[in-house]
Amino acid sequence: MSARRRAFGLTARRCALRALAPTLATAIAAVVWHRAWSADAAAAPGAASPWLGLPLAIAALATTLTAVVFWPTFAQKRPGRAVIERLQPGPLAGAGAAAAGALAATAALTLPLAAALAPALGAPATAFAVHALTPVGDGLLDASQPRLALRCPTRAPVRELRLQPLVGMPTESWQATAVRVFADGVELPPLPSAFADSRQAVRLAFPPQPVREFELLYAGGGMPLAFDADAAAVAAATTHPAVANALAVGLLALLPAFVALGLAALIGSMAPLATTLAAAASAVFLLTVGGVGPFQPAVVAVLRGEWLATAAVFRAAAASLAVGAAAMIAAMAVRAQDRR
Amino acid sequence: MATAISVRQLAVTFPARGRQPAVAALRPIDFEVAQGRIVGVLGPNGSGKSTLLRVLAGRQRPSSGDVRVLDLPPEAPALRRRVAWQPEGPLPLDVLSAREFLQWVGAELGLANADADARAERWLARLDLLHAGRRWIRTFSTGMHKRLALAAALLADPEVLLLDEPTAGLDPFGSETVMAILRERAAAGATVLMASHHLLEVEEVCDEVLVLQDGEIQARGRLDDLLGGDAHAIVVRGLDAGGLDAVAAAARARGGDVLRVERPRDHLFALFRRLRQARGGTGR
Repeated sequence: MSARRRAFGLTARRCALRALAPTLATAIAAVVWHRAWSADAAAAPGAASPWLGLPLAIAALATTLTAVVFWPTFAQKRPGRAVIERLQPGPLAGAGAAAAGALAATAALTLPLAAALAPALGAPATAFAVHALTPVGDGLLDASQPRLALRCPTRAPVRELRLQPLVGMPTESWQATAVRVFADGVELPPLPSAFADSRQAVRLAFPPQPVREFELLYAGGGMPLAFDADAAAVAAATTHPAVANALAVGLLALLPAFVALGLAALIGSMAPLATTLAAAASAVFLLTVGGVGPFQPAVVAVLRGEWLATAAVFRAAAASLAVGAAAMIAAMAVRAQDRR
Repeated sequence: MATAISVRQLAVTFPARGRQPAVAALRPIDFEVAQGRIVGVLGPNGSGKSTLLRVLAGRQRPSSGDVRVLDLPPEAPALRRRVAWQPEGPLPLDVLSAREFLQWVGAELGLANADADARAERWLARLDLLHAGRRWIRTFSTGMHKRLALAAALLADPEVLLLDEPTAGLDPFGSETVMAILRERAAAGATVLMASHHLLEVEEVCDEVLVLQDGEIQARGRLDDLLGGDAHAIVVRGLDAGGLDAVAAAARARGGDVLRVERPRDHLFALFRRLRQARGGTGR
């Protein structure tokens, strides 16, 4: 017996064949469109994220919908469903294996596609990790609270500080707020500019070194600064191959398909095909171009050269995995109830 | 002879749903089928034939009663391969080719790839589907669907065959092939339970019948017992009308009652058979 002849292999082959043409067509259109209309691509590689995200999303959508249509136990009242259920008496009557086959087909499309498309859309040749810094206290910096500590979550050498605070209403004057920066007590070179606008990005490069804590010192100006969770980050000194980063985003493209297939297995245990397809398509849409979950931020990060193998990405991916797994388990429970 | 199927006080009631009242698909019924027999399940639409087959295939839980197939409960995993079920309706996975479909069935039934391939080729050839082995199932005619479904049911040489309308939509040659296969399987010891509306075919192939009406057994037994009477027929050839009158008179003189004198004719199956033999075909 080979897996090629069973639900996994049959679904994988069917999904790959059906999704290949729309995925490739979208990818080619994306590259052509990007080159024709994005003149300043090198200056803002993150802006090309739709052109990387869309083909990957199309691959996930096409394989998901193909699997739901192909394998009869994904929905009620499908022709021959009873035959499948007798031959495959497992908790999902083969839908689990079919979902795995669909995910294998998705990976077969998204991994090479991401690896080829990311550099074509301007992703840097190397990637580096970016770690968010945790402010100590309430995160405010102004004349009344002139010191703010930012804890670094990594012990690895870092090479660049990235600050994007929120700017509050001026208390004394409209003068931009200047800040001095210390790394473990040693002052770093001056920041290239003071802060006058909310989310104004200021980057400070310094020689690679491990840092436990940064300290910001108020150095004049009338604008209070608020450092929330997204306001301060540090770039690691170690670089990683960009192709690995692109493959990681190809893997993350499996998450929307996994969640959608889990929901399809659950909803399809009670609903007919049209309802199940609508639910699966909506889930893929929300988790890709809809911006819910780790996929969309990961696409932007890859194009900016930010390394994806970080705790934040893993946490977000784990949440999506949990939703998909919970849906699959619930589908098993519903079907077991039906059998009783 | 060993008992292949045993049904005791089997009842199936579909519960009420919303405004739909509960439906008693099968009222308590009892019967047994001996190994190697071919039993026709007859009855009008909605009489419970398909429900009975679903119960025996382990796809419908009885509301009450005890059902044993090959001495096991019908849903026993061990019966998945030993009992084949061919329900009515289209086949699943109709974007596969006939050969791929049989390979899938073989894989799910635990057959080795080479064995499954050999069996698939054998049944495709026997059921005249070899030419369509690479075609998508969705392009098949109704008869081809039926033949492929039977090939799938026969793939693992099951000990019990549960067939729902196995010849519906088949041409006469196809029907005859199916009946020949069923006879062979029964001769090899397999038990066949087939629901059908084709009374002539049931009469030709079945040893026994089970007549259902409104979920109850109306009649059951061997065809000879159910259809036979105390009348006997003398079939003669070469007599003119006067000669026939003389035979009838002789019968009356011995106390017999001549019910009718008619010219018997063959049924259409025999015609098809003769035409086929004249064409040189010998059966699939």
